[in-house]
Amino acid sequence: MRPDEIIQASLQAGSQIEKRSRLLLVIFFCMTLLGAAVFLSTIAGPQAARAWQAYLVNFVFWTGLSFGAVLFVAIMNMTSARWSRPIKRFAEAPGAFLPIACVLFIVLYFGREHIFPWIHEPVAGKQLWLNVRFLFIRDGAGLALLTALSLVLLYQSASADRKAALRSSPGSLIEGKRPKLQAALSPAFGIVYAIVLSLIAIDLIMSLDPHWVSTLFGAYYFMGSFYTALAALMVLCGISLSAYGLQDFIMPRQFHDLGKLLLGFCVVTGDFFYSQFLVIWYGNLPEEAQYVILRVRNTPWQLLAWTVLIVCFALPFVILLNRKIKMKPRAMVMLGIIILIGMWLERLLLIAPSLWKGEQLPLGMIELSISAGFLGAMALCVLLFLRQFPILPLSDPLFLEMLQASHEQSRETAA
Amino acid sequence: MIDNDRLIGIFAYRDCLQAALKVLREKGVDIQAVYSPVPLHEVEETLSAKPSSVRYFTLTGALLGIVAGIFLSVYTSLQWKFIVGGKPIVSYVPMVIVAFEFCILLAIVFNLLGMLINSRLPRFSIPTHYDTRFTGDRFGILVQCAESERETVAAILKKSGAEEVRHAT
Repeated sequence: MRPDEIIQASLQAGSQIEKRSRLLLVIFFCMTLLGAAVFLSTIAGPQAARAWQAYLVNFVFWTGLSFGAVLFVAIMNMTSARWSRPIKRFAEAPGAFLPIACVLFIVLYFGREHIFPWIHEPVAGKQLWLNVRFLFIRDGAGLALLTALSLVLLYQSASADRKAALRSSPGSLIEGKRPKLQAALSPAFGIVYAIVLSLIAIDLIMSLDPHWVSTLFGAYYFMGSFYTALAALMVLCGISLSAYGLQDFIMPRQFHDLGKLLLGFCVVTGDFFYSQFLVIWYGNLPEEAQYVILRVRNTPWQLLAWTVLIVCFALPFVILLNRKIKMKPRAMVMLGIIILIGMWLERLLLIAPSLWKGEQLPLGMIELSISAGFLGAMALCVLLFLRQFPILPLSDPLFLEMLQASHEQSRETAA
Repeated sequence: MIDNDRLIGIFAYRDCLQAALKVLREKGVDIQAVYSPVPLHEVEETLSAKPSSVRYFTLTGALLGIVAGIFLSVYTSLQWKFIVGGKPIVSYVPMVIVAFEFCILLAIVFNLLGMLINSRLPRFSIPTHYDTRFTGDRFGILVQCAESERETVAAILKKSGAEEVRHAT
């Protein structure tokens, strides 16, 4: 495939997105408005705590997903991966949600009374860490730093591609050198990702049950977030593949590799869960075990816990063992959606039992509309990002190498 | 069929090998073996050989491993009846780990065995038609054909770029 053909295909996909996305933009915007309206009206009423709880679950889920997606790009840069180059823009897209995530974090400040039980009942000896001002300063700073790193990383790669598309001179593509700034920032992002997401996990999830401690919890959260991001990437690729005519670039091979990664991180996340669980089970200390017992043995959580175990780990593991199914985009989109729902429920299972004292599962219209609002905002960001920049990483030398290699391979098998 | 004949074609280039395989498959010639010093995925695709049966060995090993792991932990626990930390003697949580490790161990061992059995290894004598250059810089195709077809098959091999076509005994 010649460089001008690649640019042509990218422009064509871009105009497809332009044409088809108008209605979607309106729909997602309405979803966002609906979510915001329900949230605002509920926090003014008697069910304020429930609304804040749903807000926190969504915040933790979607922020983790966006950072996880950017981590995928950073890992691509660090490993000089070629196979994943055609889906690079899709991996970057959820990163566009991050500035909004920072604003949403500030909103959490107004719900602190409903969210953090240790404000009403301070835990002796932990006040130094668990106090409102310090928590918001350290988490806010961490989020801002990681967001800034992500945005620089995304902007560097996306704007270079836009320049390449504007120049549209066939030769200009090949000259592209490996971008140095991206190469330097990617490992830094990986390290800061682990630290900041651990901080979020400890402060926004673990501290809701302030007597409970698990040293692996931060790692469990950031691994789970990466797993979520991979599932989201799968969904995004599968949907865009047919909608925007990218079959020449996103091939079964990309789905196969993404499927293998998904299987790997399904196992890793499951393993992190089990490592924590085993230690808690063995030690059987009351303050540790009650966290698990509440979720696994008590109603209304016990059913949710089993659902999460099956939907997030058992089901994807068994399905992804199959080689052929990993290359079928439609099946992978279905599985991706199932994993996303499962991981959302998992976040709910981590947060809600610490706060919710009701008889019934807190899963109703309030949770649904607030989640729809978050989904709408995320989809809006992704679409706007994809409209703004070329859909293929035109300036990426590894992308061209990858295309050449796969082209030669297909010619060989055809000959 | 007694009048069967075996021919071996020796190739210097993988493109030629690939082209020959395509033609041979179209004509329905019985390809018995392809020799190569390096793994060739495109050859696998062209031959579209059915997936090797090694995977069934691996699956058997994995399932046996799970059973063996559970059996070992239950059996040893019942032998000693040690109560640790107030836990039941036969408890499931740590059993999962033993079962998991055994699953992997036996799956690997069976996988290796399956590979050896399927490749008929170890082999102590080299077949006479085997050319030592197949582990160096040449590719080979071993075909079986009737005496009457011998000329046409040899022609196909030659035409696709075989350096050498000879009778395999």
